[in-house]
Amino acid sequence: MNNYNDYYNYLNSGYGDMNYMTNPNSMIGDLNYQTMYSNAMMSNITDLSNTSKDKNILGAYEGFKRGNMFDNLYDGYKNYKPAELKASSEREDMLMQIQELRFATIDLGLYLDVYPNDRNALNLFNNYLNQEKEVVNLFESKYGPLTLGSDVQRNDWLWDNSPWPWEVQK
Amino acid sequence: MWKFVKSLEYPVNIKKKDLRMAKYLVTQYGGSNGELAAAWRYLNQRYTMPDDKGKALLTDIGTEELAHVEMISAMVYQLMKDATLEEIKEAGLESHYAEHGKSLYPTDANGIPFTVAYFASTGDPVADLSEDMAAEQKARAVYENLINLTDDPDVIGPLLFLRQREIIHFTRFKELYDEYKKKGYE
Repeated sequence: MNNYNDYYNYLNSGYGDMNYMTNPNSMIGDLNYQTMYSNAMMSNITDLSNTSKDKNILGAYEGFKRGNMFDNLYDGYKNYKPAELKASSEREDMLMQIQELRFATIDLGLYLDVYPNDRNALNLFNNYLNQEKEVVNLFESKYGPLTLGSDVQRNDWLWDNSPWPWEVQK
Repeated sequence: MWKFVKSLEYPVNIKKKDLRMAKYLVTQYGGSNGELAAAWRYLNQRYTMPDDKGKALLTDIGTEELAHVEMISAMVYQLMKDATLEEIKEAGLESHYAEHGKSLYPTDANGIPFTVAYFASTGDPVADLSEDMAAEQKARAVYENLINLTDDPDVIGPLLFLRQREIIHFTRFKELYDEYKKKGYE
């Protein structure tokens, strides 16, 4: 598993383990990147597309890649395919997981604005929101705050120590 | 209020500078169909939406458009970042350079600065939502023009993502529009 997509193939093969979250120490130590990456990968995202009663709502990865969580609303341009997202570091990889989960909540949120009584969409929204919070906590403990209100700067001001979003991410 | 999150909505990592493309792409920052106009069009219209559903949808789409302003800005910045003066002249960006150096500035592809005249607020929700639907379609069309002007996959990827967002926003505005028509709001 050496990129973002491999992780998803792995997950889609039936592995959606959240054990890592209860054992954060497994991330810490002198492990090489490959191992770290695998540990991070196994933990973070549970693809909920198979649990959705609404088959029209895509899984978080496919929806994020397309920029559209709703299969029936997808309208491609010419024969362009959505970009395959590849991370070149663990930091970038975790950030993509956060972006992916956040995107699911953004798109489901707009849908819920118009259809507030759709329980299935509301459940998905809350599931993705909870997953996002978990990955954000993990990310911030390793790479610094994503928002000023983050818990990780209780002892040190870390806000200016991490890359700005408009810089090419490594 | 708004809270800043130190990440883009979707990754932007452009490795190859391309000043010509920056010059065209900037229109989705400061042009009439760009993201800045979209953000403030919706955030400004939301106050006079007739119900909570409309206030919610315009607030949330307007907020997402702010994230798109940031994505487009990041793309323009990365396309121009390492430019030499020679390259700036070659791309016809000397007038931008004279006024703004290498900083970002919201203009359209012809260099005309952003103006709030790009959006209207009539106070009539059906008229405002019609304008919003048209704005999303125009932005979609401009994204397609921009995709046609480049072959850099690092640029095309985010443009395809942003183009899909126009389709979603159009759909949600239309759903609200249809509901308002049925309810007889005007």
